[in-house]
Order: sequence, then structure tokens, then C-alpha cells
Amino acid sequence: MSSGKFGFLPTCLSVIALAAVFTTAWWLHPERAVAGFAVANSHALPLASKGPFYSTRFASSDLDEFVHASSVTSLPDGGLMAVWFAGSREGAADVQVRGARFDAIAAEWGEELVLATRESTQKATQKHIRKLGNPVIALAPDNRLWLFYVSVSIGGWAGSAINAMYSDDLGETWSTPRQLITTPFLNISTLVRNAPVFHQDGTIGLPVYHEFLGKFAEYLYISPNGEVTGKSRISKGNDSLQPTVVPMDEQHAVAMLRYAGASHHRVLASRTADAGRTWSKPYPIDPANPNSALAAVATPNHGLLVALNDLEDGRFRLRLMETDSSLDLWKPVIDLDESPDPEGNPFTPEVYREIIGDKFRLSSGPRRLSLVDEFLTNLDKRVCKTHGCDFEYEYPYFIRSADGLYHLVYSWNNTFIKHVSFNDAWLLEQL
Amino acid sequence: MPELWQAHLTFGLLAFIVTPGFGFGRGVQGLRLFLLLGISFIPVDGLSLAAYMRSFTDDVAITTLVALAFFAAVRLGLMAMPPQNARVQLLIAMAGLALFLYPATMGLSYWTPINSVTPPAR
Repeated sequence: MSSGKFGFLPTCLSVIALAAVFTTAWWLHPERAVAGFAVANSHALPLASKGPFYSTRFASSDLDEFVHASSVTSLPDGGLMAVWFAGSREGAADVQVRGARFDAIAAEWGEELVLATRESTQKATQKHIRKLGNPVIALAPDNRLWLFYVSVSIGGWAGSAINAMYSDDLGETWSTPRQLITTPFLNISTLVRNAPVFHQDGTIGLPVYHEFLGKFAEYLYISPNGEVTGKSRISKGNDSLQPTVVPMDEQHAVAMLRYAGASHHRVLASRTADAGRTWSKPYPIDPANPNSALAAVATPNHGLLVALNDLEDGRFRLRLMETDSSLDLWKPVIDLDESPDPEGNPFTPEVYREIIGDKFRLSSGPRRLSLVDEFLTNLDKRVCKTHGCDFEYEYPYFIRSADGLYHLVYSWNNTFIKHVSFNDAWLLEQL
Repeated sequence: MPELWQAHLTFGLLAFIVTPGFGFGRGVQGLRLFLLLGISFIPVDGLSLAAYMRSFTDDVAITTLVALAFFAAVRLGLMAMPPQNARVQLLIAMAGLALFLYPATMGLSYWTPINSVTPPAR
């Protein structure tokens, strides 16, 4: 390395100085220790302390909006808070992040709340915001309620960034959102969909995915005050996304991924044995996957419950399945919702109206039941297109609350967010 | 100090570098740089022009800011452009890093530029 103007010695000294700067920085910031997963409480719960319990109701109440990508968390008082996005269509500028609270005593969902809009996000982040997307809500061990949600400044979902806001009063008031720095490449194309897990030191482990050019899954480490402190890669390439991570003990966890490739159409699985620092190469497992989201939780007998569209094409059936920790043995528990047509073929509006009316009455719960007539007169393009009317049950999100109840929320025909809850006693009856 | 000082500085320096100088002297060029910095504050629909640019680039890396400042200093006549072989060396180094880092960012391997992890065993 020499030039006429910059001599050999100065060039060498510059290179050595630069190397010294990087070496010193590396030395002063050694590899961060990763705390184990915080899993003790969920496995300590009794298997069946009460009688069988299974209940469904709608969490959302708006009749006009396209609703999708729901998420739920339990609160210390036994209640729940759910969030989802709602707008004229997916990706529209009018999409808002909405939520509702579940009163454990009344066993019903309250009125919808608007938690974030395109305008509020733009004002807070000082960035142009085109649209909002998937929200995820979770209560941290320090009782800070976190809301992560996707926003896009340019292009489609591949241009996404993740915004984070928190509440220290269980959702009464919220901080202003701020964008997480998740990648050096223009900080674009990181999306969130699945439930975070927590580590023993309070670190938030947020499963995320990337959609620009490739499709792959990552695991973000976020400090209790919301700073991204590191990440690991669960998969690479262009055929997997939306990881659902289930800790099995302090060091081990399973990640199941939505398959977005064109060859086998199966759920992918990956494992970590070091609290998320490294992940095994994803491999296809038994259940089919039509490029749709899935969600999983651990059961007290060290197995997993998984909600998914166990189909090679379409999302017309949402099934609950049980598997062991090896992911080798799979057993259907119940079809949570399904089209009456086993192939998922569309129906004429007249037939569809009759079927979906019955399904509404079975699903809505008492408080939302009064909406059925207005709903049936308003069957629009969310469910009926030129080829006919479809049933779609998708984007499940699964948690197990501290009282041992399982809570599942998912998109019910793009028109409502449906909440299903059950306990271990009911689960034992099904197996 | 405005909240988005980095975005304003990036906007001003980038605009200064990419717009023609029309052969004016150093004083006029300095005035042009200040004018462009001022333009970065013009609001459109509630956001400044610098904020709009930041919407697409996010906060640029410090290395990018240093590079912009260097080329701005060259245009102002405060620094001389390095000889061609030094520029080629720098270009090769940057291209090498780009070839290494951006595929890593784009998920072609299990290595991420943010946090190095051991490749999977399986």
C-alpha cells in the first residue's frame, strides 16, 4: 500500500491505528452473557385443578373493518389485553392498532381502544409512515406492558420496521412509540408477529422475521428498557418466517416457523440449547403448512400445543394439535373453526350467510351476540369475492396465563378477532 | 440542537455534494451549504424534508457521515482529493466489506452483522 502522496509508513501507521481502535472496542465490549429463559412458573401449574372449561367469544366489536393479526397477554388481575390491526383492508393507510380489555369477572371483552395510528406513529418517530401492520402485546416480568408493532415508510412489508411502546400502568397510558434499530441495512425489513419470551434477567426475547429479498427468522434480545442488545438468526434463505418460540427449560427452546417455500409445504422447526444464541438448521416436521402463521405454547407435561392451518393450501380450517417435545408425535385435539366444505370451496352468498350466521352465534359470546343481524347484512369483500364467499381462520396467537388457562386469539373470517380459552381439564378430556 | 440533527446534516451534505457548484468560489460554496442545510428544515405535511429523507434511509452510519463530510470538504476546497490509486484502494476495501456484510444482513448465512453467533451444529 503506497502512493505518491501518502507514504508507506503513514499508510501502515493508519492501518495499525485503525486495527487498534477496532481491537480495543472488541476488547471493551466482550460477548454478552445470555440469561436463561424464565420458564419456572408455567411448568409449576397444576395439571387439572378445576373442571373442564372451554369458552369462545369475540374480542373485537367493529363491524366494518378488516381485522387481522391479533395478539393477547394476561394481566395480573386475571384479565387480558388483546391487540390487532383494523382498517379498510390490509396495508391501507387507515389501518390502526386497536385493542380491548377482557374483564375476568364479567368474562367479556370491553370496547375497542385505538392504541396507534399512522399519524401518531409518524409524529412520534419523525418518519413518514405509509401503513401499520402486525402488533404484539406482552406483559414483562416487571409488569411493564409492551406493545411492538410494524410500520412501513417505503414500499411493501419488506420495508417494515418495528415500533415499541410501553405502559407502566397496565395499558391505561402509553409511552410514545419509538423504532427499534434491528439491522444495519437502512433499518428496514424486520417484522414481528409472534409472542415474545422472557429471560431470567428481564431481557425480552422477540421472535422476528425478515422479508426483503429473502425470508428468514431471527431472535432479538431486547433489554428491559427497550434497547436491542443483540440478535441471532433462526433460519436463513427465503422460505421461512414468523417463528413461534416455546421455551422448554432454562436453556432449551423450540421454534416453529411458517413455511414460505415451494417444495414440501410443512411446518419448519428449529431448536436452541443455549437460550437463543444459536439455533439448529430448520427442518420440516409432520404438520402441513400452507404458508400461514402458527402459534404454540408449552403444556405442563413438557409437550406443546400448536394452533395452525394443518393444510397444504388455504386457511379454511384452524386446528389445535398436541405434540411431544421431540415433535415426532402429533395428535389433533380439536378443529377450532372450519369450513363446512372439506376442500374449502367457496359458497354462494345466500348459503354462506346462513352458515356464517350459525357460526357467529356459536362464537360471539353473549356481549357481541347482538351484532349478528347487522353483521349478516354487511357481508362484504372481506369474505365474499367474485368467485364466492370463503371461510378463513388464520393467524393464531397462543398464551398460557399464570392461572393455567390457555388463551388463543385468531382472525375469524377477517371480520372479528375470536378468543378461545380452555383449561388443562378440558384438554385432558380431548386427548 | 435539533432532535434530528443527524438527518439535517446528512440532507445538507448530500444535497451539497450532488448538486452542481457552478464554479463559484469557496465563500459562495459555503453559503450554498448553509442554504441547503436551511432547506432541510422546510416542513411538508408536518415533517421536515430531512425527516422525509430519514424515513427512507434511517439515521445513516457515522462512517457515511464522515464520507459525506469529506467529499463536502473537497468540494469546498478545504481538502485535496486523494490520488487515484488511494481512491481505488478505498473503493476495493468498501466493496469487499459490502460484499461481506450485506449478504450477511440479507440472510444468506447464519452470521448476522449485529451479533456474531456460532453456526448451527445441525
